[in-house]
Amino acid sequence: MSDLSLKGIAKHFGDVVALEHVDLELARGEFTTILGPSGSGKTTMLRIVAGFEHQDAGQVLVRGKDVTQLAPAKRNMGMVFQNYALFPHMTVAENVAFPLRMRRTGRAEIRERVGWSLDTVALGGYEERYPSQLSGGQQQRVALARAIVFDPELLLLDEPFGALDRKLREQMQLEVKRLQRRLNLTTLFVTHDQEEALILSDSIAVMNAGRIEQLGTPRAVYAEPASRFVADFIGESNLFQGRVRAITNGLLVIETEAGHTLHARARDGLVEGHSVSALVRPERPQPTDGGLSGINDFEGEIIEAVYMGESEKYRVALDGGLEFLVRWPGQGEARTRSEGGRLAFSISPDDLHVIAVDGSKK
Amino acid sequence: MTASAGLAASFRYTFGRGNPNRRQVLLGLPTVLFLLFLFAIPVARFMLLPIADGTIEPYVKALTGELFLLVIWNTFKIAAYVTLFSFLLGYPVAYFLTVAPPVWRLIGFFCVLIPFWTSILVRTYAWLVILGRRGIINETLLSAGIIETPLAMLHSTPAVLLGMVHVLMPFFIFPVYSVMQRIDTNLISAARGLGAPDWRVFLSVYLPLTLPGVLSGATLVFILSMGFFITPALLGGGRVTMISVLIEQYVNTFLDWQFAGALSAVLLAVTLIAYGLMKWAMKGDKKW
Ligand SMILES: Nc1ncnc2c1ncn2[C@@H]1O[C@H](COP(=O)(O)OP(=O)(O)OP(=O)(O)O)[C@@H](O)[C@H]1O
Ligand SMILES: [Mg+2]
Repeated sequence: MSDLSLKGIAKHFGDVVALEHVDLELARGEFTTILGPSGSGKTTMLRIVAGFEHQDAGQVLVRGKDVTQLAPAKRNMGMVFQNYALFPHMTVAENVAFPLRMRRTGRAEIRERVGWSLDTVALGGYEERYPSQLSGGQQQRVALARAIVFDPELLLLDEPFGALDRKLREQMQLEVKRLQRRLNLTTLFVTHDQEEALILSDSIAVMNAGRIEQLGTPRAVYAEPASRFVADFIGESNLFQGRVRAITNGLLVIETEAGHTLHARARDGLVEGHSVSALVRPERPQPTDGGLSGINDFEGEIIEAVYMGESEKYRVALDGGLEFLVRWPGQGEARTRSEGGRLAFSISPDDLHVIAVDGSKK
Repeated sequence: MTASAGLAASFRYTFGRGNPNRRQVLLGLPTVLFLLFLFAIPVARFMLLPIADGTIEPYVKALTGELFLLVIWNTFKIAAYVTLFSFLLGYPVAYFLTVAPPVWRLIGFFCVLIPFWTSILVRTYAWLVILGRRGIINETLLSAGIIETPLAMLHSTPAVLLGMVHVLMPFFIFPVYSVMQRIDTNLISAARGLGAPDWRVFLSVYLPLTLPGVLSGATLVFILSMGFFITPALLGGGRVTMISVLIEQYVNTFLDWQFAGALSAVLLAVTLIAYGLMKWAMKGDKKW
């Protein structure tokens, strides 16, 4: 039985369709991320799960129990808001004790649980401070402590790291992940940061315009996106429109609109004549020394080279006008791969992911 | 004098607690000079009249005479009631203005502001028309045969309270509204999500968060009430004596300016003490 299941959730605000039709299942202890661009309905979905918003259609089940008619106060979910929503007039200890007081927990137990919870987020000793006397990261941890102190059935996180600087964000991500693992918390996490989603999640639900476009492991949504939208939204990509011209020796021969020929590993359901998109992640091409004899061999002029520290990014104009993005580990010194130079590479048919155009939404 | 103290409090609230720099201080200088020479000094002279005449006996009389103590106590009580009723009636209005959809908010603001822009005299006379012996209520009840003789509604403490609450409520509503408006609705959601039933959300989260506005509005209303004159004079008809009514009598009827000055000093002192107490009560929220 899944811990949380959403069945056919739909929600609109006036003319705006916030959620079209959402199905989602979370197993016990699973960390699922809702990833999508601004306005795709992520927050709306979380608010419906928490009970702050009421769906127009569909059901929310928690451990098999329909909670649709249940008030937020009765749902037993720990939520961390984007801006933390700490009560400014209460101390850290009072904030964390709040959900316990609402549950009429005894004094001694409250003290014990609050202590445990603050220790868990490494904030022991901050009990008497007010939220305004804490840094962003500390406030974030208080919010987290408050969300876990009452043993919630679900942990809901709405872009909790949005306001933190990069370093702190990465640190908090790891801490949250560790905590979630240790307490085996079923977690629904909302973000529009794809990197964060890839790092943290057991599974990612990629949302677009009120629908889940793809649900899968981070590896699956990155390497085998189900649609052009997912391919485009997650990571950087080279996407080519084309048509399957032939299938030979287990390889699809794809002719792109620009006239290039690409070879990809054959996949079920694709036959000659199909319109497809071909995806190559920029780190996939392998450098070659210039021959154009093999399959998927390319050469072109570097029109832009960007040094990014751990990697270097080249925009390559192939003969025939097609542009290709390549990212390779950074070099110690600027050598031949500079703007104006030539770059030759080859792509293994296994590194080419083919998306049937019919399967993609606009 | 009391009004300006109260307004200063509300402005301090509205414009935050930042330290003014020197230029801002200079900008305020003309007003300060104006108030000093045309207001503070004359008022101080008035209140210090007995001392100028070399006696403190009027102050002693104002503070020990049984009648005067009674009037001061009465004034204090009325001001407290007005403040309480402004809170009970004004708080929901402020809340309504905060959550209402735009059209209703506009209508609400209109209803609060129209009386606010109308002269106090006009509004008080309106109550005379409504509550009088031959006023609207009595005429209606008489012609409907519900009562035989007109009800005596005017010249009573309830009438004075009614009139004063009506006049002063906007002073409560606006500071509270300005605070409510800035409350993050996520805090309310958070409280509900953490298991608080609605009444606890209100008592534990919403009310405490609006407390600065409530105290600010209450201070304003209380201080304005302490020195209120027109409404108690007209609606009280001499039967409800507030200290300002008494001061006016000593000035205009008994021509005893010395004693009027002494009473004014007492009024100012009582008001300042009350103001100090409220400030002290507000100190609690300095931490957040
Ligand atoms: N209370 C509301 N009233 C009207 N429209 C709303 C309301 N809440 C959300 N919407 C609309 O529903 C859509 C989805 O909003 P939602 O807040 O769920 O997006 P989101 O994915 O969380 O975006 P972001 O990443 O910017 O937070 C948007 O078009 C938004 O304008
Ligand atoms: Mg959002």
